[in-house]
Amino acid sequence: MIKTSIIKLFTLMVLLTFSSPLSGQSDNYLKRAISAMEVGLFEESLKQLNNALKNEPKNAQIYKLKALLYEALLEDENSILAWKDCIRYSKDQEIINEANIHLEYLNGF
Amino acid sequence: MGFNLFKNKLIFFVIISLNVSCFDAPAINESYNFDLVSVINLNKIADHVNRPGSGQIMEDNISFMFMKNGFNVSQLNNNKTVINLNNKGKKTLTLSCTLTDYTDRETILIPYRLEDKGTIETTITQSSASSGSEKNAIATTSTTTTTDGGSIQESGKIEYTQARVGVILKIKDEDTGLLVWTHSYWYSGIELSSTTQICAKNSVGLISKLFNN
Repeated sequence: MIKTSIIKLFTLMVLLTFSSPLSGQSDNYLKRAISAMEVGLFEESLKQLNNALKNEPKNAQIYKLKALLYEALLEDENSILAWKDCIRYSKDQEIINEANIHLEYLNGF
Repeated sequence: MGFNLFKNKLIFFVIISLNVSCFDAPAINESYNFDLVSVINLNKIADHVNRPGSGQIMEDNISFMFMKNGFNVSQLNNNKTVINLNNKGKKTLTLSCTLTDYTDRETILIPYRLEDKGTIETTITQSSASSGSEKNAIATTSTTTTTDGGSIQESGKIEYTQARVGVILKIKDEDTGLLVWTHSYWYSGIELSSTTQICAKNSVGLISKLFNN
């Protein structure tokens, strides 16, 4: 006779939730960027926008804000690059027009 | 590979150049001889409806930019601003400017992705079975893994405000009333004061080109 006893020793549940630290990162970076911009911390705002772009490298509106910040900091070369990226990823004609107006000014007509 | 990369860059550059060069140019009366103009009278600029004082700010910026472009600017007792072109001609032009936009409260929305990276749930169950003798106990372990792939939604938006200054500029011959040059222009930026200054700078830059030849 085979006496079988099943003893449940332990049940281990490992819940690896990757979503909690990563979900909404763009949201957080953008909120921080705008808060920093509103108090005049343009360099900090740019850092946060660069972090947001790691999650969303094709977001034209982020490039637009980046370009405006570089313009405010008188970093024309960086601003031109950001406006060009804005045009590259934008499907909105109004944003493209706005980018062209800025590029025209930054390129000295 | 390298040639394709170069070709793509070239196409992108051409598209950008075309976009920039196709930007709205001023309307100009080609038959008018701007060399005969000696004076431009700057009309008083009315305030934008939402911003008292905006007209004076723009007027001062335009005067400042004319000076930066090498013109003599006089502000007369009757609050009129006169720009002297140092030409030998006798014609007088009148420059009028209407503020079409003057705000630092233009709302811009930035869309962003709400990304759910999903979860991985692992359950490990360990059990032991004995056949009478304690020495012969057998331990077995089973593992169950459940994966949720997550999802991406483009539903998030965050807003900020930017400045925007817009103008319609008109230049007419004071004697004949002939409209000789018009342009509408706007500029955006983070700060209202610098945006106003750039708008005035670009406007005056375009006007200055009329008298450079």
